Amino acid sequence: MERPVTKDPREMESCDELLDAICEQLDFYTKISAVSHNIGHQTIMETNADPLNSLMLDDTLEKGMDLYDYNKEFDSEPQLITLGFVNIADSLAAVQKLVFNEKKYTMDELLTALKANWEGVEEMRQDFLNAPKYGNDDDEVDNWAVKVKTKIFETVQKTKDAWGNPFTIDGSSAIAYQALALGIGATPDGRMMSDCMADGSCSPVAGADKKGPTAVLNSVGKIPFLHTGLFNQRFMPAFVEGENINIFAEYLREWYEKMTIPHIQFNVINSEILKDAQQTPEKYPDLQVRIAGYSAYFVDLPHETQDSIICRTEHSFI
Amino acid sequence: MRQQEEDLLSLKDGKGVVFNIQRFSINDGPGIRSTVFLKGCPLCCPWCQNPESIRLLPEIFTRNIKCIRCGKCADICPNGAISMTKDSRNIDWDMCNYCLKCVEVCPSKSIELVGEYKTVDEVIEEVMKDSGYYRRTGGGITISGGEPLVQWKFTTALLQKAKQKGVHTAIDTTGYFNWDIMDKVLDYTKLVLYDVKHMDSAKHKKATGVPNEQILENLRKTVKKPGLKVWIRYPVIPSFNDSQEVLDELCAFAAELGPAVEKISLLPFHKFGELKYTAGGRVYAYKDFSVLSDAKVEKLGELIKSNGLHVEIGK
Repeated sequence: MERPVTKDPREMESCDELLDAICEQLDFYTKISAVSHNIGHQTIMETNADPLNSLMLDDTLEKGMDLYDYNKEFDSEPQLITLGFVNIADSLAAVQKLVFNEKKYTMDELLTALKANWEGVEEMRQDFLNAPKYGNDDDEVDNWAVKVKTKIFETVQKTKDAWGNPFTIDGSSAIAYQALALGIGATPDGRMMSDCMADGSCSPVAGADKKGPTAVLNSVGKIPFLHTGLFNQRFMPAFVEGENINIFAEYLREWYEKMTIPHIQFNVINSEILKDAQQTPEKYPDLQVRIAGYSAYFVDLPHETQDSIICRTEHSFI
Repeated sequence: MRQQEEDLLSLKDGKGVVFNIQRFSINDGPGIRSTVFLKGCPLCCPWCQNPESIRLLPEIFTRNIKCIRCGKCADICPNGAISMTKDSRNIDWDMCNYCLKCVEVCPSKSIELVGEYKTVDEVIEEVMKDSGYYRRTGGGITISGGEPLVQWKFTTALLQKAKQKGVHTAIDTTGYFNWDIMDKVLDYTKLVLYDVKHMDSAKHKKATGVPNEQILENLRKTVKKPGLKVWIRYPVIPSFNDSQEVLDELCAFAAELGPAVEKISLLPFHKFGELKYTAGGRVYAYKDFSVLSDAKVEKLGELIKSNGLHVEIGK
C-alpha cells in the first residue's frame, strides 16, 4: 500500500476539498490499521484464550466458545480513536474564513507559517486563533464539526476487518490529547507545535468556549455519533452547592433528555491551576472563573480576589 | 441626562447597544437565565461593578496581558492617544474619542469592543438557544444594564418578544426613570429586580449623582401593578449605607410595600470590577476600601429578618 498523493492545498478552492483530502489520507491509515488489527486479533484468538471470562457469560457458555472468538463473531467492531477532531473543525472554520472567504492570507502563507510553527507571524496566528471556535453554540463553526465528524465516520466505515466488521470511531482518547500532541505540528486553529489538542473527543479546545456551559452543551449536542464521544466540562464547586444543586440537577436532566449526549465528565476547577494562573498569568489569558452568577477572567481579577476564590475552592473540597 | 437623550436619538434604527449576553446566569432571577446587559445609565455610582455600562455608546476595554506589541493600534489611532514603549502600551484616555478603529486592527483582541449594535431578533435568537433550560428550571431572560430603561424602546421590544415565546421576563432597574414609560415596560415584565441604595435623598445624590424621590415613588407604584413580583436589591457599600440606621429605614419602607416584594437581596460590596476600571480608562474610587466581613453582612441580614421580611445574601 502506498500513501495517496492528495491535491496540493494551494490549488484548492474551499475547505470541503481540504476535508476530502484529509479523509483520503485517513482512509489509507484505516486500511493500514486494519492489517495490524487483523494480525493482532488472530494472534490473540490463537494464543490467548480467555477461559475465566468466557465462563462468566451465558452466550459463550451456551455456544461453547471462547470469549475472543465469540467477540469476533457477534459483538465486536474494530475501533479507531480519532484524536483531534475538534482541532480539525476549528482549523477548517478558520481556513475557510481567512483564506477562502476573506482572502486575507494565501494557502501558501499558511503552509509556510505552520511549517515554521507560526514563528515570526504572531499577528497572523492571532487571526487564526481568534476565528470562531467550536463550543460557543455558533453554527458557523459547529457545522464544520458536524461535517468533519460525519465524514470521518463514513471514511472509517468503508474499511472492514477480516471478520467483516466495519471500523468505527471511538472517543476515549484519555491522556493522548496531551501526550500524542507532543508530536503534532502547528495547526491552523492557531495552536502551536506540541501544544495540547482538545481534550476528550468532543470537548472544545481549552479556553475556546466563552459562552458558558449551556452553549458548550448545545454545540456538543449538534455532533452526531455521540455514542462514541467523550466530553469534559468543568464547574466551580459553588455550582453544586446549596440550592444550586437543584439547578444543576435540572441542567443534567436537560442534557440527558434533549441532547442525547450519553457521556459528560464534570470537573470542579482545581486550586492548583488557579494558583499557577496567579503565578504565571501569561499562561492563562482565557481562564474564566464564575463568580456566582457571572464570569470573569481569572488573571484580570485583583490579587486578593484571586486569593478569595482560591480559598473558596479549597474550602469546598473539605 | 441631556447628553444621554441625544445619544439615544442617534441609536441606529431599532437597534440597541448590548455589551454582554450572559448565558447560564443563576443570580438574576429564578432558574437558569440569560442576562442581557444594555449600555447607558443615568446614575454614576462609584462602586459600580460594571463601569463599562454607564456610557450609552460603544467603547473599548484594553487587556494588556493579551497584547503582542504589534503597534497597529498606535499607528491607526487618529488622535495619537496610543503610544508603544518597549514593554507596554500606554493610552491617553483624555485623547480617546471612542472611534473604535483600534478594535478593528488589533489582531490579538487585547483591545475589545464593549457594546455592539444589535437588533431585537439577534438578541432573542441568542437568548432562545437556552430555552430548554429556562423551561425546566423556571428561568428566562433578565434585561440588565446599565439602566435598561435608558434604551426603553429596545427593552420593551425584547420583553414583548420573549413573552410571546413563553419565556419568563425580568428586568434589573435603578428605578430612576419617567413613570409613564416604566409603567409600559413593566406590562411585559414578571419580575423586577429593583435597586435601592439609600433612603436619604441628599446622600443618594451625593454618591450616585441623582436624588432618590423618583426611585422610591416608582417603587411604590411598581408594587401595585397586578401580577408583578419585586426583589429589592440593596448593595451594601462600606461607610455609605452599611449602618443599622439606614437599613432600619429601608425595612420600614419595604414593610409598607406589601406582598409584591418577595425578598430583599443584600449584595455585599466586592471589588471584582476593579480591573475593569483600568481596562476602560477609569479611576476606581473604592481601591482602598476593604470588603465587608461575613459577620457584618450576616448581622444586617438578621436585622431585615427581624422586620418580618425575607432576605437573601448575594455573592
